[in-house]
Amino acid sequence: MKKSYFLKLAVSEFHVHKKRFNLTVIAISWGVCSILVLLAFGQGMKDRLASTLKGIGDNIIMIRTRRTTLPFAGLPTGRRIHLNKEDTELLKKSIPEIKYAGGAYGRWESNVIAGRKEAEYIELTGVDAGYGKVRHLKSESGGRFLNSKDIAEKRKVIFMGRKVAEKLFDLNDAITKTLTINNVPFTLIGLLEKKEMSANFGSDEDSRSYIPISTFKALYGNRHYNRIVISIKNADDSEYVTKKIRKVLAAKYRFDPKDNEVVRVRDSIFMIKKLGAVMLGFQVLLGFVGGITLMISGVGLANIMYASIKRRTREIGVKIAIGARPNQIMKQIIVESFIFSVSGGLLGGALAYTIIYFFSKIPIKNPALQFVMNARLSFSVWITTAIVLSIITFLAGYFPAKSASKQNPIDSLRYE
Amino acid sequence: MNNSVIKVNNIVKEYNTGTVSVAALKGVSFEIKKGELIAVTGRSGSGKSTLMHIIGCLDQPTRGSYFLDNIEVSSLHPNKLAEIRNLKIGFVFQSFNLLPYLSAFGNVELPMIFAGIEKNKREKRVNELLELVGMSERALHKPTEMSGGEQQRIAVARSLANNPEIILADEPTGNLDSKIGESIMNLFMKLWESGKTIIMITHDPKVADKCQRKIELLDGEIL
Repeated sequence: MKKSYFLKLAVSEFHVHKKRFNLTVIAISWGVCSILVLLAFGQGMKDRLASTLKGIGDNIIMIRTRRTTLPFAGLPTGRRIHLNKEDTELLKKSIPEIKYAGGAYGRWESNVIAGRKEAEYIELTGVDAGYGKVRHLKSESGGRFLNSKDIAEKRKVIFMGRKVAEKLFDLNDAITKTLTINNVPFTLIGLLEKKEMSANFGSDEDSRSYIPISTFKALYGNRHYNRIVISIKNADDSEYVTKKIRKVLAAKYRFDPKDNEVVRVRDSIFMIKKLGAVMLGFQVLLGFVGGITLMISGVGLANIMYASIKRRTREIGVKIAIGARPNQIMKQIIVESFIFSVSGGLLGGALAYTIIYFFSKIPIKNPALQFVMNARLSFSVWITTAIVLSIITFLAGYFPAKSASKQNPIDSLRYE
Repeated sequence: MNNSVIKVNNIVKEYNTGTVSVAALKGVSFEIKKGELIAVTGRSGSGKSTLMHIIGCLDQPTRGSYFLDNIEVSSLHPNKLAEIRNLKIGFVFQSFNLLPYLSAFGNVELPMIFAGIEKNKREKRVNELLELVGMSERALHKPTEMSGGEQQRIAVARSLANNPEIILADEPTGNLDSKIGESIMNLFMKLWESGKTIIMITHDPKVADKCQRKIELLDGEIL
């Protein structure tokens, strides 16, 4: 006996029991849809969190120095400690765990003009090419970050964050345009790509502008670094490296290694570890909520299937009386649950897709809400959910059908 | 070889209701020859339904033997029993028991589908049978669109689908008024005249009187 016939039988059955069919399909679709939407929002948040972590950079430790607060070896307190190029070399040499160490100059400049537009002020940072790599500062297409040639030739080129650039340019057509900073012309070579930076250092990356460190020194004559940015090879070494940095600098500049106020260290790795724990907790919560939702829709589904098969006990009895074999009875149930699963799964997926699409079209300015409203539909979650619900549908139909096909047909026939 | 289609030997059927076992049949023996028209009569609770279910291979006896076409069926595999019900026995029930979502045509076709008969042969046979029971014009109607008498005609056509030796009818006129009941009875007479073996369970004396022979049950024994 062919499967196609069972399909026909099931379809004509559904045609008569439209309500039952609709209810079952709605139950499956809703189950699939709610899990998909839920997990899509969760996945979106997770993605944002992950890209935020990535945005900070590769195991970044940032160092600034201030005045001493403890007397040391006969030296008074309140001595200003300054960092310079030799310190980056010294740190790299004395601490092999360091992958990159680079200085950064910083200053605020006003009188910034591009064409007819003017920005009140600009936060200028002078860095080398490696800084962009470790901080993951990438340009929008068409542009680039500073490279070693820019540094070597002291080029007057600038890489800008979006927030500052949009005051001066049309962002769609900004790269290669020029601007003047205090009458010094610069060429815009790159625009920071859009990314989420909830855990940035100091100020918002989008408001900064970067020029070659050599150009910066030549123009403004700074003798001291504003800060040193260090990237270490292994995140686990962060505490050790931090201690070592203090020790090396304390020995060079002769201050008390216990004077934590002199060297201020901002350790992104510590933050990343904390965020990582939050992310893991979040994932566990999502899995848990998804599982519970799946269970609830599964129970609802099992109920509908069980009731519908029970109601058909008599019909099963008739079929047995006119010669259906038990496995032929089972086949019909299997075909039926297959139809339920496919239609429910597709409908639920489409519904979830529609809801998520609708949400994605709502314009949101609030960065916190942007974090939440970033639903991403996961194909694998869709398939998994549909399969799990199909299995539940099948089992919920299978057991009553099996007992009906096995039980004495007379009892089935008498069942009202 | 003898020409008995059904040979029942000292059949006992006991039902276990908790701790007490109740005997519905207490050792029943009889033979039915090919082409006979038999009425099984008796008051309710006499065991006639139990007997019909055993003859119809829907139920199996607790003790005793039952030969159908010289095959001992009391210990067959469920799939084999399904095959026998499908090919050798045609059922007609008091409450018709048509599938509500299939047309008259679909209902008559169903036993042939279970038997694995190919489509064009099925269609030919269904049309013949609907013609035979006088329901050709209602082929595409659903049971809910038909009267009781019409539904029973479809049920009779269905019972004949795989051209079985035996027609088992359980109070076939019980749910019908006397006039329509009579026309259904005439249909059975026609089938009997064409050579079918018909066993009819009834407590209607008028129906029983039309049969060749009566098997009367009382408290699980043949009177």
